[in-house]
Amino acid sequence: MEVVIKTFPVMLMGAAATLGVTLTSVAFGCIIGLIVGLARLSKKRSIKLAATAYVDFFRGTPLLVQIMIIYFALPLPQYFRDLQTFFVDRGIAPWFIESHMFPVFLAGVVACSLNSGAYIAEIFRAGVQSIERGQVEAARSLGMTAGQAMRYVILPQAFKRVIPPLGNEFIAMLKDTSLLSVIGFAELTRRGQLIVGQTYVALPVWFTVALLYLAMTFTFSRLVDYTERRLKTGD
Amino acid sequence: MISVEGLHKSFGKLKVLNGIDCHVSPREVVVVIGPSGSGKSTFLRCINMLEDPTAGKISIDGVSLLDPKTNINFVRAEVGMVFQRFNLFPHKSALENICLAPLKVKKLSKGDAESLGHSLLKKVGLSDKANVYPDQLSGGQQQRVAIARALAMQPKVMLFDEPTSALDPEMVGEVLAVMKDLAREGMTMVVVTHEMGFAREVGDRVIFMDEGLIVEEGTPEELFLDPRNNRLKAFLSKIL
Repeated sequence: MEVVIKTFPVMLMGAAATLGVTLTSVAFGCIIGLIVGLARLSKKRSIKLAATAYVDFFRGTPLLVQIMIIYFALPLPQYFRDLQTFFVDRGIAPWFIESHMFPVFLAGVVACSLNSGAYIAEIFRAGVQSIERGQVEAARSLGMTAGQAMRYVILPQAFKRVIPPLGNEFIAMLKDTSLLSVIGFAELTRRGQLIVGQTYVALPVWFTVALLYLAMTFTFSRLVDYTERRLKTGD
Repeated sequence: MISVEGLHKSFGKLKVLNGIDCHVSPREVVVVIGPSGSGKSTFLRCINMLEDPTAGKISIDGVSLLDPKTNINFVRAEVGMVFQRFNLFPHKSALENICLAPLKVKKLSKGDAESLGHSLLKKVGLSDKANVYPDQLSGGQQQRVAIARALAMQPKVMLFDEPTSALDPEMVGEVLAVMKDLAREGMTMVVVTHEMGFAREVGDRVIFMDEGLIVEEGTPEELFLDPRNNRLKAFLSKIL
């Protein structure tokens, strides 16, 4: 128990890193997902094919393997180090990671963003397709271009519908970032490993780690429930 | 105003329109009747290219729709369409529904669009519903907002695709009243409907379609009182 109390601040740092890398990745994932999701609906066959290949690859291979490829197999660490210098020199590195962790953090964000981008693309695609055909027809019959109909009529309605699945994706990603421990990113699971390795106290430490994950996912799912209810009444 | 020649439309192997010829003059109200599956809606939807015709010619106000150089969005902006299921934008209030296209397509200022929106709401008798969302309006009210939305683009032609078919009976009258006003003001209209009373009262010409063809056409009196075609006779005996 003393071990838990003594190492709790370190675990909290890990939880902050977990949350930070998840938020960043899901944010980028949303941008990628919107683009790829719309590309999946494109009438141009080449665009559609490229988007489908992207989704198939990142959903069809384990995130762990994707992390390995990005961190160990591709010659990216050099660029990550350059970026580190760039950000750290300007004092804009995220507060939740130590500066020497920056390259691993970037590798983690790249891997997780690409991965969640594939899932979010499917969420957006399904959201857009769930809007009744009559909505596009009404918009087009008023003289709107396909782009205007998408932007002013379809997407605003689709966004409301994708909030619950996006919440799921966030929670899944929050837990999946534990895989970043294999490249030594000091998120919550990695901190737990290090503490157990040094103190040989396993059960209380892992239990606390689990509780911290639960605290984050629980808070977040309540937040999603709340937003969902708010949006429903405003429909 | 509208000129359709030899219009064919197939969905895969299914032939829906088998050569429609039809001309609509300015200020004319044409009512299209016929059994379900006769191609009435498809015909209407071809007029603003919501369906791509398989063959034939369509022009509106002299502009050919099937000419690849024609910007279909410009044509559609001048052809208003009212749908059976209203298709109002559920995330926008009545006023916003009406103002959206004038703002984004015609690039009107917000002030101009809103004053236009308010005057149109007044025209359809819904001045007090400007800030109400579609799900809080009755079917009849939604359809009237949808008509106002189409009118906001100041179209030269209005197309109505069974505008009262999805309404409870007690709401049909309020929508037809708005449409009668429009006809009286001289709007060119093509109306697909099962409301024979409306056809008789407002229609300048009635077209009877069956199996993708115009089988008979004429004034309401000619068609309703003296139908020649057997299929039209059978159709009228079922609905009148």
